[in-house]
Amino acid sequence: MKKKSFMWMMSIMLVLFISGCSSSSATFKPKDRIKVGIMLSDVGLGDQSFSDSAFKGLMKARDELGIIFDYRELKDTKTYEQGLRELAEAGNDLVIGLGFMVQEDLEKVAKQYPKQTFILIDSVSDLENVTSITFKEDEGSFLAGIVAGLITKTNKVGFIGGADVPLIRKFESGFVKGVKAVNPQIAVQEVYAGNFSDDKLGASIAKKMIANGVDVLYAAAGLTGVGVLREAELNGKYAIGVDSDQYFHAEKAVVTSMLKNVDVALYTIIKEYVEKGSIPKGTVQLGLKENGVDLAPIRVISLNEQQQKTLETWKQKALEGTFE
Amino acid sequence: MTIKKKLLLNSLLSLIFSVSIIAFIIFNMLSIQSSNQDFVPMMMKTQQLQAELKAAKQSLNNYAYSPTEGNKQEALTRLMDSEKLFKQLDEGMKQPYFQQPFEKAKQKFSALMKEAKAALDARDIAETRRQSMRAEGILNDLYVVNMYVNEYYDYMQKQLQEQIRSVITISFVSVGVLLLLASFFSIRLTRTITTPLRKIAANAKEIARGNLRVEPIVYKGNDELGDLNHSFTTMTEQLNGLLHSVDTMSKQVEAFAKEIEQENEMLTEINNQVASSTNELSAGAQSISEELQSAVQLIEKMESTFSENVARTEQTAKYSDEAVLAIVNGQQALEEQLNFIRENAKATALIENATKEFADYAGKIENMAKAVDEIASQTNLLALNAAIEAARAGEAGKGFAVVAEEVRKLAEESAKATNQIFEMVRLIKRGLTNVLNSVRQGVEIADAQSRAIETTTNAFKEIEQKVNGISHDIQSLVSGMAISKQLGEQVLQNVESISAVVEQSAAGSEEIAASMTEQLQAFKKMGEKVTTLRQLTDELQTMMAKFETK
Repeated sequence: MKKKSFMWMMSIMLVLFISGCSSSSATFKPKDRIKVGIMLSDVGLGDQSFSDSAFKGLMKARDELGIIFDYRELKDTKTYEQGLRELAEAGNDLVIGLGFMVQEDLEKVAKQYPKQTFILIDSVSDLENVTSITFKEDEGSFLAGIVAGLITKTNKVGFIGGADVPLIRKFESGFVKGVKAVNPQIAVQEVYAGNFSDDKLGASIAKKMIANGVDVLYAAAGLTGVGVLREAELNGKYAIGVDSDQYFHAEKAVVTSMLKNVDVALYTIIKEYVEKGSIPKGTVQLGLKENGVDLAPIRVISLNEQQQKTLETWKQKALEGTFE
Repeated sequence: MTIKKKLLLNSLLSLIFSVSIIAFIIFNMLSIQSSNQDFVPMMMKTQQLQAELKAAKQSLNNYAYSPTEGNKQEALTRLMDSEKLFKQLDEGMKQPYFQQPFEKAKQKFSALMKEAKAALDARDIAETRRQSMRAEGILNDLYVVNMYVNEYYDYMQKQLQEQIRSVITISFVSVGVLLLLASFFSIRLTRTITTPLRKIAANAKEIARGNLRVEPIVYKGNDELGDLNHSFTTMTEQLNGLLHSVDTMSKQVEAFAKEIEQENEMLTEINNQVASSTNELSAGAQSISEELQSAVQLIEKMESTFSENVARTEQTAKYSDEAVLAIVNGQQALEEQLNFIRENAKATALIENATKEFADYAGKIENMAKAVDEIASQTNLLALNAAIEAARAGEAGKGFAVVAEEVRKLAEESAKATNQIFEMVRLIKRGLTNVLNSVRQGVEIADAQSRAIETTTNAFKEIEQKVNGISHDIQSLVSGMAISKQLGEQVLQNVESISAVVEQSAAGSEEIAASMTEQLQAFKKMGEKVTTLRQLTDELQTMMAKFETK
């Protein structure tokens, strides 16, 4: 009997041993990655401008630097604040606000999440955990002014601003300097529309300017500016786009565009974060030198050798920061 | 527990362990396979969806640059395909890490689908371009999904590898434990079986050597070995007893063999005497047989003479039979003649009658002729009267006189004819009387003939009776001869059978004599066998001496 029970005990132990070994596991946890969240500006993705540009920059960072990103749009979140809070709560390492109109909401959220890093594009914040990125629009606008000065035949060019604010003033001053640098005799007509999203208003302003003999129009006025470009095309005049390459808005009129390379800006700063684990505090200014602003390729007309040379010379000077 | 059960249990336990190890491996392998099965297609679909959506985005963009119907259809198709893939993937996205971005992407896509369609239908290029870019948002979500899916797949692969490794380790350990346990129990079991077996084998060897005084083995187990041991002990005891009884028996056999030898010699003597008597008997029988043979020959000769007599008598009988036959034939001929005569008489009687009738007719004719004659004479008279009357009438009766003359002539001629008939009838009557006379004479002759024939017939009958009597006598003589011949043959047969019996008995005594000789030889051989038997018992005794019994 003793032997029998011993044998049974052994067999039960063996079976228990076998079945016991089969259950063992740790739950799945994905790799730790740098996460970036962006609050897109008003129209959101597909605006062919700021938002798209920023998105492209993030895509490049995602594909090349191995980060992941998420985004919010105003049409979904109703307010910038809500979108930014969602991004902060989702634990994004960097939370980006796009455009100066985001500033107020971004600062609110940044105060609530002081340990997270925020990036504000196109405006300047004093908060400790907010890094501001601004562009030297005057540098870009200066080049746009050179082009305008080179191609005007009536020696009358026009500038349409979205609002009379310091940022748009920067555009205006740069543009005027550029035009005058080519020919001080050229007159620059300036109008501030007071609205960034009324293309009809833009068109009517443009119409008036063209009636006044203006044959090159430069608009820094969002959708209102698009109205300007289309009106120029209708009247067989030239126009210069802003922020992104706006050629497709009026393919017979848009000679070039003053580019704000938001994509480059975002890619650069994310790269720095990936490499160093932190980004510079305070304000980062990006100009021609940093590839933060630029001119889109010249289309519609072609500059002659002389004109090309003039543009190159001024561009060189601007890069050196000595155009003023 | 019997050894059989022990062995069975031992192997059964090993088998159960092995089966459980195999089952464990199979179970784990199956779970590994099933976990992989579902996931890989999902992974591929995710990538496919990404590619499809990218293509959709590109075709929307293409439409924005070149708003042709072809590009529109292309964009719509791509969007439909993407939608299908979204639906297919919907169920597989269970892990929360990728379920969340997937849900987001899905929602965005349904919005995009609606808006892009509307834009395409409205030929709104700017909106199409916008939607093309908005697709990037979905693609970004899908990028995350894909990334997590891939990571999850890697994680699963790692888990599987670990699982496989652990399965292998566990299997090895289990097999090792199983081997150890199995060998331990097998050795134990073998030892419990072989130890008593070895002891029994040693005892068996001793017994084989002739030593039956072995010590019995003590085995407590109640199994086949216990049975074997018990049987072995019993066998040893039985052998002891057997050998003792063999010893006594062999001694008895020896004494018995001696007695048989003595009796055998006596029997041989008696047999010899019997043999000589039998030979004498045989010779006597032989002479009887010879004499019987000669008797048989004589009887045979007698029988042949007898046979000849019988043959002759038979011939005579045959002749008498033939005579009887001839007489019968004669009788028949006579009867036939008698018949003829009788018929003749009948015919004659008929003739007589016919003749008489004929005579009657002739008489009738005569009567008729007489009547005619009278008529003729009266006619003549009438004619005379007529002539007279005519003459009286003178001239007027002249013609009548002629007629009367003619009638008178006719009457004369009728009288003449009648006379001729009378003459004829008279002649016929005379002829008939002659016929009748001759017929009567014929009848008389026939009667006389008939009587003569009857006498002859009677004579024939007498002859027949006599001949029959002779024939009968001859027949009885023939049968008597046949009986005598049969009796003779029976005598002959009896004599022959006596002779055969005598010959057989002679042969039988010869056989007896021969058998006696054989018997004598057999007795001699038996004596030899008994001697051999004695030798064998002697040998058995010496053999028995080798065993050491209790």
